Amino acid sequence: MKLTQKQVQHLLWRAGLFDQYHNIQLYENQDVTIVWKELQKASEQFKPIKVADQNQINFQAVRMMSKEEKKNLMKQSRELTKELNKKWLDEMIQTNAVIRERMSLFWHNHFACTSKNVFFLQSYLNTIRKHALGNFRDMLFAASKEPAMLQYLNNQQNRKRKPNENFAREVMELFTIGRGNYTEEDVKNAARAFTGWSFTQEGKFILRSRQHDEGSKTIFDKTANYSGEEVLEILLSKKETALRVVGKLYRYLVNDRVDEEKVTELANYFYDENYDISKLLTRIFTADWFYEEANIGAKIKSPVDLLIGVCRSMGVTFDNADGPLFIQKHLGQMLLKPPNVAGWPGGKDWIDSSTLIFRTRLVEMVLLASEVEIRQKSSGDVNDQFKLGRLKKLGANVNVSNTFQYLVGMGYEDRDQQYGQYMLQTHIPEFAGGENIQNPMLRSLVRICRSPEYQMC
Amino acid sequence: MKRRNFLKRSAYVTAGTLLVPEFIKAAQALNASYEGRRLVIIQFSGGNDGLNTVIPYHNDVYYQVRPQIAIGADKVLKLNDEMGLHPALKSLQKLYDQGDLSIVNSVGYPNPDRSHFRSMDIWHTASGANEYLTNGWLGRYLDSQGNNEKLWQAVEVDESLSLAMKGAERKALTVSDPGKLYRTTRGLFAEQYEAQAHQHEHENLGYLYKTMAETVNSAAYIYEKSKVYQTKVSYPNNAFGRDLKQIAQMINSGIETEVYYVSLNGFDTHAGQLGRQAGLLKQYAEGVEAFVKDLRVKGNWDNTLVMTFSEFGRRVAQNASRGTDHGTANNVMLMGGKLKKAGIYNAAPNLTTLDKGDLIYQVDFRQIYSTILQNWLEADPSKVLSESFESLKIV
Repeated sequence: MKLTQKQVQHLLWRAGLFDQYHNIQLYENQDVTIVWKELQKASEQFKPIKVADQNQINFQAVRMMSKEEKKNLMKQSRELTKELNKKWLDEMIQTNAVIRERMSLFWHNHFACTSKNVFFLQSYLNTIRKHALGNFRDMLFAASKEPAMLQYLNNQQNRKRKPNENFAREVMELFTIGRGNYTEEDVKNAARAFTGWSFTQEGKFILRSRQHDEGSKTIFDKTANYSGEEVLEILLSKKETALRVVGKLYRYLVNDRVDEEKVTELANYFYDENYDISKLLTRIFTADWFYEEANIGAKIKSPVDLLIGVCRSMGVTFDNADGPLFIQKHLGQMLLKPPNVAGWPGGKDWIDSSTLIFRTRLVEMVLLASEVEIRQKSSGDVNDQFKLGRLKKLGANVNVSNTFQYLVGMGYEDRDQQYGQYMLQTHIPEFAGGENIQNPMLRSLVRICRSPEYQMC
Repeated sequence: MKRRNFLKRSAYVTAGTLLVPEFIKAAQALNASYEGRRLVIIQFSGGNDGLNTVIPYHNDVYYQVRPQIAIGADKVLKLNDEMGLHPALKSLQKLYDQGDLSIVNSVGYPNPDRSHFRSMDIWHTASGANEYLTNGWLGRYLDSQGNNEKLWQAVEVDESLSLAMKGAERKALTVSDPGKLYRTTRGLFAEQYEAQAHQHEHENLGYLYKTMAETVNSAAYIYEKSKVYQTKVSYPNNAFGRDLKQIAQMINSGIETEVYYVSLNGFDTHAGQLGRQAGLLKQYAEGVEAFVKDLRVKGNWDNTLVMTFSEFGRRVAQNASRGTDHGTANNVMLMGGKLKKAGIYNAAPNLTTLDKGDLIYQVDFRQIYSTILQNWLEADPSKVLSESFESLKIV
């Protein structure tokens, strides 16, 4: 199948992270399998994101620290966490490994997690990025053993004599088989299998054998002295795991409205291919049905999609972390700070009167450096990692001739129409407003991006 | 640009907003004055220390475990032989004497979570500690009221919307300043959104158009309608005072809003608690005093119910920094001119039988929600809450 401009955009927006016009032109009229192969190849590379190392900020000594030292350490950690957020975002904006980062976003929502320890958070982030296109089995094992995750789900309190079920419950409910496929007794017994799963201050997973329950556990009607790893294997052996992950992925990559038949077929394939993520993605993105009209422009952009899209398609960069953080916060998606372990619900949930108004004005705030007239809601936590003061400007760098480079190749006769085809995946609505903007290119971009259509991908 | 589009566009611009069908509906709403009941939720963000708010001044344990931060019995505003209010809460003592305040002690939920985010989530969604719901209890109340284009049925006075106010289908409106909201939305051409709201191939896009049209119309309605009343009551000059003034202005103008939501932040008092909490409670009490006075001017206090809550209380014992760390159960305050049972609703918190140094809850917060839904909003709690909870006889 040869791809049209719209189909190329569909692929690059959903499987990738939006793109400049030049790249879209490059793929137009090319065969989908060739384009997909190229994208996959570009995503083979993986380089870890690093903002902190042990010499710079030392969590190991925390127990011996004075109150003042501890306070400084936490402050430093907060600053580095903001930097980590920014660095990941920058990576998404600059990288060619777009499929890897797109899937990392998905896994960040599936294995949703945060930590006040920036080392743990950094390690968690790189683990999901590393396995993003690999094997779901490896991903499940690695993500479950991340100190940030064990800490987030209270597994250091999960001990032989006093089990804590939180971790086991979320592994079953959210990471694998899902609700309705296990009993409370299964959770209780699985929790016992995870007793002693812990980590060192250096961020290494360890099994504290004295806290591990060696007794026999009954899970799904079978009794044995299960280890935590064996429980994960049992969960992977259940088709419900494939069904649940694929269902979520379908909603994320294809359409909020699920086609049950397709999901079942894809889940069977995923299961039979031993949870090979890349093979599953190839199946989705080279299928004709992915490019059907009903799937194009049907999803509401997440706040991070919106932000990355603006940056990648118009060549926008930010001075510092505050501007992009402000946008993430106000629109309800702070990277590395999901609302809870269930992640962001997405879809219509992104939208209410205040987020929608902000979204429609975002591009003019960025391109025209208009003032931001919003006070942020406080989280209530005095030690909030992402606390922000009042912000007057988003601090975006917009070099008009640079932005123009991103649009090169388009004609001038009807900018609204031409830019519209590049910025929007739906029909082109009638635009109005922006008469006071001198530069015709900026005027066109601003009025296009004010339309509700621009919120769709 | 195609000529046809250009003509249409100019028509929109010159016709302005006055010829818009929805706006005409809003204009009819302008003449109507809402007389029904209102619910105002005040959220203390950060975890207010309930034991220094409603003080068990007769309990020795209280003084033993809080040597540096306990409020002396001589300073407490006494409500009965056992309990009294923080000295900054003078106006609440007055409301108590008038039978317009009810205090529910030891409100919480099983397996309490001590994280701000998570516990706030639980209060907002009315979930159990083990479940994750994606919409809020007041949002689900809106959902249960059926399809309604009046976005202003529930209003949060803030710049962003709380989870509590988000339903699956319907969400509340955020308004921090009606004038500003009106100016921001004026250029957004409601008529365009309206005309196109129902003709989209994709459901999600239709939803965006609908939300946009409703926002623009609501902004116009609230801006116009709230001009009807000008208060003569003076409010404290701080953000919380301005927010309450905004709500009173909307109520007294007869705006058709049933639920209001507002937050006061800064209660995370891990260190140096005394001064900080006193300052916040003073803002709260002075704001509420002006608010009640304002509502009474127009006879609206009797059909208003105010609930104040926080995501958790704080540890019973103080810490080494003259502050308190995250705790569990806490008191909830209900105020209004027509309470069925005023005063202190249940026994003072038990300070000796604790769970890891924290209070053990006696009343589930969802019992209060259920009571408000059923007895005040006259809604079916089973459409909002996942289980049934025993009502309290307060409202």
